Amino acid sequence: MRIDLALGAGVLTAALLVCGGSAIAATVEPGGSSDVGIDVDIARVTTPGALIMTVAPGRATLQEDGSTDTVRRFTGSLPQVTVTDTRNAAQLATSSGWYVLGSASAFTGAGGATIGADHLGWSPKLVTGDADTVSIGGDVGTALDESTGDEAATDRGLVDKELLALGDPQSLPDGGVTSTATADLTLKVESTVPAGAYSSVITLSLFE
Amino acid sequence: MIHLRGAPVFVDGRAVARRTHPMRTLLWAVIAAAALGATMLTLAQPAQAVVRAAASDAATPVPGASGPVSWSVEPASEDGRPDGRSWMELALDAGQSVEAYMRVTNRGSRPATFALSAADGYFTDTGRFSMLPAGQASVDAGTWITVADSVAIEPGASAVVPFVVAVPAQATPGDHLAGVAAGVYSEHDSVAVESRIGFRVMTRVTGELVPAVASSVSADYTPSWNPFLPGRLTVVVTTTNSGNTRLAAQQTVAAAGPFGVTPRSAPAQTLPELAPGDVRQTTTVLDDVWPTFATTAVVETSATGAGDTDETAGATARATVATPPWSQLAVLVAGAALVALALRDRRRRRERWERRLEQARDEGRRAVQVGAALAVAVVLSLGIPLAAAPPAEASTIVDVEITPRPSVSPSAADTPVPDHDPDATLAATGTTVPSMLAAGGIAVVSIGAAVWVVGARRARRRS
Repeated sequence: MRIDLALGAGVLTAALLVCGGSAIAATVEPGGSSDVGIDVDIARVTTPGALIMTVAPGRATLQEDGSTDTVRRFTGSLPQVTVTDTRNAAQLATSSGWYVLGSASAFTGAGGATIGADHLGWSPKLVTGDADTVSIGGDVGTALDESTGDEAATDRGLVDKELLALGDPQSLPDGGVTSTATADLTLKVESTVPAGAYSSVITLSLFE
Repeated sequence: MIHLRGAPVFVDGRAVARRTHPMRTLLWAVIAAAALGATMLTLAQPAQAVVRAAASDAATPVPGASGPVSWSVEPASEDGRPDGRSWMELALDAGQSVEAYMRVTNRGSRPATFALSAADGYFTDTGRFSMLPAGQASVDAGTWITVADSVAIEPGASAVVPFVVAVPAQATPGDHLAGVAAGVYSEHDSVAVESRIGFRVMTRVTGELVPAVASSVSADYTPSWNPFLPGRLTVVVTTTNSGNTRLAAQQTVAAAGPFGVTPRSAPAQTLPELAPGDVRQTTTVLDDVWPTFATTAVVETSATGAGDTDETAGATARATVATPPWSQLAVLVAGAALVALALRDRRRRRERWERRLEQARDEGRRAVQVGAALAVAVVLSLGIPLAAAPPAEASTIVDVEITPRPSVSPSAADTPVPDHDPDATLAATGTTVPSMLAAGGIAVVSIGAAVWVVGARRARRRS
């Protein structure tokens, strides 16, 4: 009886100690890194610049790749989109930064068959450019994927405007910046979708 | 186009091409018809003063081998110079119309034709402005803008394209969002890509401006398994711009237990800009909320109308969520169980101790009885020889020699000598005491033996 009691008390104490310890460990902030700031003041060019979009030529086809018994998978890639921002400080004063958003229309096939745009996902990638001045949008999965997002579901597809790339006017270097982005496209459909030719339009919009 | 082949894969490439062919012809026929329709529409609108823009194909495919297309679009003034604005903000009366200008510059190395469009604008969930894609019909300010279908521009040249913003007479006061854009189509086998650059055209129709905001809250609590750590409260707020102006809104999320104990709050956050009618969902996570059986999340939203309006609007929403302190209760229960066990153990121990004490007392009592009996027996066994011995000692002869003293006075010589025979006295006692001792001893021994026998029997019976 006494051994049982001692064991119980010991286990409870140990559990409380572990809990308390981990609570303290969780509360204690890890040591912050000490960044040494070096301030350099370079005046921006004052000649008017522009926000330019360049679309690469080329053809891309969605090819069947990695289908299973239940899901057919087609992959391809978006043509490269280059955004060059050469605007000066005065032009950027009212700007909140540029961004390229993408959305897709539903795939329509012969005989009125459609595949919803939520079946098309993408994974944006930075091809060239400085990761400090441009941010790449997050992956968007298809409706047949598992959602991996913590706050927002990622299995929403390219239905609404999804971010491909985002430029920060505050970190625009002198002389402008050029960034090129693309995205891997993935279409997933149920294997019961009727065979046929389907087409969709992806709209990429550069706004600020 | 993607070719989905049926389960029996006998369709070869040629067959697919043959199947595709009528489709593509049909597509071009549709595009041509649409272009024709668009051209007729353009011709039917005399108000549209398109000078440098030519109506041509609605969609301008970028041929695969023609190289990249590079261009820029910005708001311009009437003389064609960019005015440095990022977008256009107009204040118009209902029924009024103005002409505005966009400057499209071909920054590539070959001539290109850009499709021009205007559509309803909106803010995405993250507050980024965009306009409806070509396939979706506008219903609001996008329909107020009339612009040419396309413009062909030589390399290095700019075109200043006018567009008309005509506010209908029945337009409601407030902000109405639209965008204009110039873009190109990249024709692909499977997916066509329309790339466009645009800017906002934000029209404020004069009249009574009423900034208003509404909000609703739902909260979800995730307790920590660790009783020393607080849990996490996830507060999802749905904010609606119920007024007629664009809103810059600020939101604070706070949570507290019953009677305001353990208050927690997140730093005030600025919401992305909200257009009239926009609904925005924001998620705030409060990481250090202790379980206090019930926690109430309070969300306060204060909004300011964008632009010149100084009017503000506010909304407060609250939601209560159950926050049972399971892990803390578990510790309490475990501790209480241990204390109860310890108390019960102590009580049992004391009982056993008392039982043992009683037993020991019994044994001790019995041992004392036995010991007393033994002692009596020993005394008696010693006493009998003692009682037998006295005669020997009683016969000890004490010799007393009385010599007459040299008397000074005759009276001294007359001192009477006691006529007491010590031998007789000793002999008398020597015979009487041992006999009494022996009788008493035998009685005590027999009583002790009887008691011992009875006690032993009782003990045997008890055990």
